[in-house]
Amino acid sequence: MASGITTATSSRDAVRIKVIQHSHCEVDSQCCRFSVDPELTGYEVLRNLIARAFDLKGEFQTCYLARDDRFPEACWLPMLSDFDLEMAFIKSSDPYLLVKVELLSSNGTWDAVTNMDIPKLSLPDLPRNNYSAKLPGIFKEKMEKTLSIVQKALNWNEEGDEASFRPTRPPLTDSEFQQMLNRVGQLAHPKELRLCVYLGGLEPSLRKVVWKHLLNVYPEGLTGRERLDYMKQKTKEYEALKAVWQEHLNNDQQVSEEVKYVTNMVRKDVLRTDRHHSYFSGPDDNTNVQSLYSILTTYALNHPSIGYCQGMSDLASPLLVTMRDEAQAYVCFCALMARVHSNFHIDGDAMTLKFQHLTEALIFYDIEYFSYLQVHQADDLLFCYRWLLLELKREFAFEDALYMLEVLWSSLPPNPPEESLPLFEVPFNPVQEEKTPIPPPTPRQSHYDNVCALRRQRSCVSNRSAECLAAILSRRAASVDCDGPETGAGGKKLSRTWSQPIDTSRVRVRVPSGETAINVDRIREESTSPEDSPTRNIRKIRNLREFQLLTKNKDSDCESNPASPCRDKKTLSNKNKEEYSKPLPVSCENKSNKSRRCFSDSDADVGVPVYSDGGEVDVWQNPVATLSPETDQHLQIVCQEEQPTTIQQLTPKVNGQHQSEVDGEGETTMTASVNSCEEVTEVTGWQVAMSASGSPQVHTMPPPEEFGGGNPFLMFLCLTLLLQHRQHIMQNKMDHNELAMHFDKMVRQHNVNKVLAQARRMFETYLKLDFSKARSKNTPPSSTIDQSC
Amino acid sequence: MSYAYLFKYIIIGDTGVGKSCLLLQFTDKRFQPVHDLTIGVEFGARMITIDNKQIKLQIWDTAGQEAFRSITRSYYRGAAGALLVYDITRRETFNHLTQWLEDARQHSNSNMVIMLIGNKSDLDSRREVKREEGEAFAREHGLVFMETSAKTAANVEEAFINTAREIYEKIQEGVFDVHNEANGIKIGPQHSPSGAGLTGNQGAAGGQGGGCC
Repeated sequence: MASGITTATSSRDAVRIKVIQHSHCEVDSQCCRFSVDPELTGYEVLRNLIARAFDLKGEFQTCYLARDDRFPEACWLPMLSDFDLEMAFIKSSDPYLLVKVELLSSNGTWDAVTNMDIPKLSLPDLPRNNYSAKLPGIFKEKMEKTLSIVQKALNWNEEGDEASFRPTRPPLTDSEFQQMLNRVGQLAHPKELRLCVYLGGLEPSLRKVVWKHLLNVYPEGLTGRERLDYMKQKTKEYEALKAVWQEHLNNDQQVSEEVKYVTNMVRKDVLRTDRHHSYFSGPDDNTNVQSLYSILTTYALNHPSIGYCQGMSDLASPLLVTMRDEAQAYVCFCALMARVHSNFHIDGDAMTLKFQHLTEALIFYDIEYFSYLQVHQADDLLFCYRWLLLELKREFAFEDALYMLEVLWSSLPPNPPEESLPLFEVPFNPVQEEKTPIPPPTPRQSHYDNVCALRRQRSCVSNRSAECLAAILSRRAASVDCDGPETGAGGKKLSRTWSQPIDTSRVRVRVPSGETAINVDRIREESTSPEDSPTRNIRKIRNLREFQLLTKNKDSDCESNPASPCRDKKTLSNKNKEEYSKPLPVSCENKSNKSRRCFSDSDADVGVPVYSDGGEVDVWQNPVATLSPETDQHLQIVCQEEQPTTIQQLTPKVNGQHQSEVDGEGETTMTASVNSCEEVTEVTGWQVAMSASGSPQVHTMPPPEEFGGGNPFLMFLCLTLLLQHRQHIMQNKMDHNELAMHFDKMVRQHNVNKVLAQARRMFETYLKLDFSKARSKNTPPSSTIDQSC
Repeated sequence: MSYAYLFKYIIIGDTGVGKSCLLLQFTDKRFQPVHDLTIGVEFGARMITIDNKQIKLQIWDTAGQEAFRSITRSYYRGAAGALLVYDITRRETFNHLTQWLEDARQHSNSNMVIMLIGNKSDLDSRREVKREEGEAFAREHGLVFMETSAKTAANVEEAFINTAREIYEKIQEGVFDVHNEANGIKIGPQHSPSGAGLTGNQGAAGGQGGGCC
């Protein structure tokens, strides 16, 4: 019987399928037709196709019209498995197979999850969509062919339109969020919350609630009731702060110069902030514009070291629009500014660092593009200033920006305030002000001076060369210092997250905060135990190999992108097949460890003010490392059509030496070349080097806790904006002015899904890099020892 | 669209004096009281005609806040013309002119043509700076002066075009080295030796970059 089925189906090249969607809420049913190869199309694949064809976000069930001779007349039968589908192919697909899709209400999707462990909760829909993981590598090629035919049949734009950039996950819904709270309303799964939002954002109605979590407004462990009280308290605090300067402004005869200066500036600027948005539109005395004015003024006067700087209104506006409440928006603004205030510092260091890192990243990922910019004197990247200062808020349409912002915030590790979020630096006191009048802040030396001076300097090639050489020398010295004792340690650190099978969550609960740092180090030691090493090595090599593949192999498309299907085939043939054949349980275990460890790290932060080195590793591995390996494949489905361009963009980089090692060599030598790459990395550390032609090269990227001043995903968003216009810029031979104008014209017009999809992919690949050398350079070995003592 | 010359302008002055509005009025012929706060630098472009020659103006509109001033500085370099703008209804914006001028002179090429603009002339009832004061300042520092209103468009065209005319005269007198792009002047494609008679790529690219032409 079984063989009969196989024969029957294999004799047919294609089965035509008609799918109709039956929806409870919508009267009109949709339908689509396509053909599939019955040999290659499994149940999961079909579901996936259907989900994409109808843009189904929630759970759905499928049944098919059975034209079976076993039944007197055609009837609907549920399609629940590969077997059902096979039967349907054989018995009921003449002239076509009719499939009915019914959407289920979203309730219940998460029921099963409630009592489950975290990993499954974190990626609830992965197994369903992840059809390619189930297909052996040999079938991949054929499968892709089929898929592309299907795509044509379904009229999916081959150039990669919206469909291919669709988020990897639908926006987090209210019921899903409820599942992340425990019975008393404590946020039980902060990491998972961030992961879900990172992958797909939030339903707009949830933003008011969830943004406060993402922005680190609440201290850890508050119950729902406590959060309400907390916000009430904060609202009172805000009202009091606001009342002080308002009274001063209204009653006092002599308004201090500072207050005049700040209020004038802010008043002018709120009138030019998002006024096209309905919330701020209308007359200038619009109450919402007034609220924005009050928020910014209160902040500036109560944070004397920061004051008011243009750009702040752009950051506050989405918060106010989302919160629809002035006090709550102020609290959120304080939380946000706690992270980004350094961008507005007069020294300009934070912005300079971001420019520097963006430059390094561009050199690392696309040296050719960078050279182009260099030739056209645009390599200072000054036209990215607004992107960096406003964290890209203005580069997308307002609603898109809200989505982008929440994704960006979710890419960062949780950093809740210890007890309570401070709403002031120094409370504004008008009486004091008048006694010692502070001159209005008219800094002659602005942070922009510094940023630009540095950028301009760097745009001069010879200066840069000298700078880079100095950097290499110093970094080389640093890496040589720690080479001996630290050799290989990086890999261990990195793989620790993957190899630790102990559930540390329980440890975390019991261990007081002071001891947690030690715990982290104990874990680090444990992770080096011999029984862990095989897994670790596999992971490590995979990482580095992915890095290599990413950076080389122009010839083979599939190899040059680690997220492409062939990678798995190769890995499979190369490596431990048993491990790969059951990827899910392994990764679940790891995920839970990582998540737990991250929490213990944040505990450690309470006890130890400075991040522990190892702790950071885990925290940073977490948001996205949890995705791999499954999500890579998942992502590749979503973003498939986009990849060729990415590959082109990503190919020209790193020096030729590695290239020759890998090019044209078979799989068997892969490991060897990986090792040599590792050695090179160890010698140079992370850094900029000069190629023979004198152009700068970056061998390794700064680690995530440093990259972009601790906001690596922002760097990848900026990089993506640059890369997505690469072709246009180079084709039109745009000079510095023209490309700056080009990007200026793109204000609010970037495609958020397209940008996020590529940025996510690059970010995830980046997180797999080995940062051990960069870290050891920055963290003297002694500090690690200190922590473990 | 091809052009004989491209002039690069920069608009400078205190925050809120109407720099972006002037630019918008010039490039789009409209007044938009509600617009974005400029962060860093923004851009505009328009084609004008002087002596039957097409001249493309590429205009860099800068943020006025002190904190952004050095981006302003970094763009002086490579500008052929500058509009230095103050608000006639706010005395302090006039008082800061010396600083701006110092900055401009220090960071630009010496031939840069600077036009002083007293903006918001439509708000005469709220005037804090007399027209004569503006004229005196301009005379003292060797600037061309004009009062404009970005709202009513009064003198806006003239401000940009007169500046261009002055630059053009300087070119004809051989004061500007047109082959040095650091002077903020670029010869259009049909004037370059190799591209005679052609509307080459460069022009096309320029047109696209400008977007307003």
